[in-house]
Amino acid sequence: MNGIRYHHEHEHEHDHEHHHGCGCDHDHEHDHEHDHEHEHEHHHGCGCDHDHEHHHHHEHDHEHEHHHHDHGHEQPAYGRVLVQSARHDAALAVTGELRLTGDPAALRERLGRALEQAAAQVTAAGGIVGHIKAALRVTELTMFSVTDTQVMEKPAPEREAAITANAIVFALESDRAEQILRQALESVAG
Amino acid sequence: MNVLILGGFLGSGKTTVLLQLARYLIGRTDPDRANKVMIIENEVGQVGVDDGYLRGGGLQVENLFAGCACCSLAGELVSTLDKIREQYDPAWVIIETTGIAMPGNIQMTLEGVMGLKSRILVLADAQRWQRLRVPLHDLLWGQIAGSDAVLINKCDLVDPETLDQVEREVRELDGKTSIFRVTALETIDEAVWQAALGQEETT
Repeated sequence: MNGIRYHHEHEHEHDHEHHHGCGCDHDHEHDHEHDHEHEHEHHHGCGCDHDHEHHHHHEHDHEHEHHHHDHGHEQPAYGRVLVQSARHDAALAVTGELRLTGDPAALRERLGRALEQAAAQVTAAGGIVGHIKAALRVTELTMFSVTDTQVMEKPAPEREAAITANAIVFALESDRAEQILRQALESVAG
Repeated sequence: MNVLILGGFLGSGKTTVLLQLARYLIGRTDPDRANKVMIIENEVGQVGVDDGYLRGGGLQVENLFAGCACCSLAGELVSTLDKIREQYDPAWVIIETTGIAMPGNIQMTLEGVMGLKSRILVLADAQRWQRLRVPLHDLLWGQIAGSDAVLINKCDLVDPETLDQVEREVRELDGKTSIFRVTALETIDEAVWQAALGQEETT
């Protein structure tokens, strides 16, 4: 049968280290090796709510060609789209972020349209859409100030919005997939 | 602490089913139990989308992002479950897997590393099944094989002949799993949950 292969009997090994910027002033290492044994060690206790130093040995089926990022990944500048991708077996995970201001109803409409266009572009490029999902978070800000006895209340004229989008696609090059999601989010920014 | 692994391909309706299932489990759990249901939300992307939606539904959610709990994040999954067990000891933990995860791998990890038994419930997308079954056959097989139950979702969007075909093909992938037809946007019958969860394991 033709199709995208998942390596059910494949065994592989990879080692990698993570240095997370979790703000607890410790460097943390995660070492992963994969084979038929299961072993596990945990070292808890630095109080930063992360578990540090794991040794895992698993038999499993997936191949990975992904970039590991810090917990506190880069935030995009206002109005700028940040896109990154990682490959997991045959699946390509593309993440996009955008912060902007605007009318929530208009943003919702533009975002919906942009994601539909993105899905159509993936298909037109010969890819398979696993899913394209996005979350739109809108913040309403009201400033309060008091200098004497009476508080002044000033609502911000614009709403702040943050969009996060995840696209999981198959059979598509990462450059093309990133370009599609970037253009989609840029079209929301206007 | 009961553990349910919720699997299924991308877009099959896992999050929609999860909200309904969590509410069902909360309703069936001893009212005096402090923590009834907790969710572990796994996404391969760097940032989450579904976690905010689930929290907006009033659920307790732990995140596992930027990898897959069935392989690259297996260790983080174990650590997270350890923490949940120690700090919250909920009646149920539901692990919503990524749409590319092999739930059987997660089950093996939990049993092998933590001695935790779990059940596997997998969603199959009736609407896209025919389109995906050839190019993604290996992945669909890896998700469904070894499951305790499969919910064929979006039954309202396909004709009865297509639905019969999907069910036959799911059955070919796993001859022992229990198969149910559902539309997750509507209320799923309690009998489906009981069968899918294994009645003896509900609290």
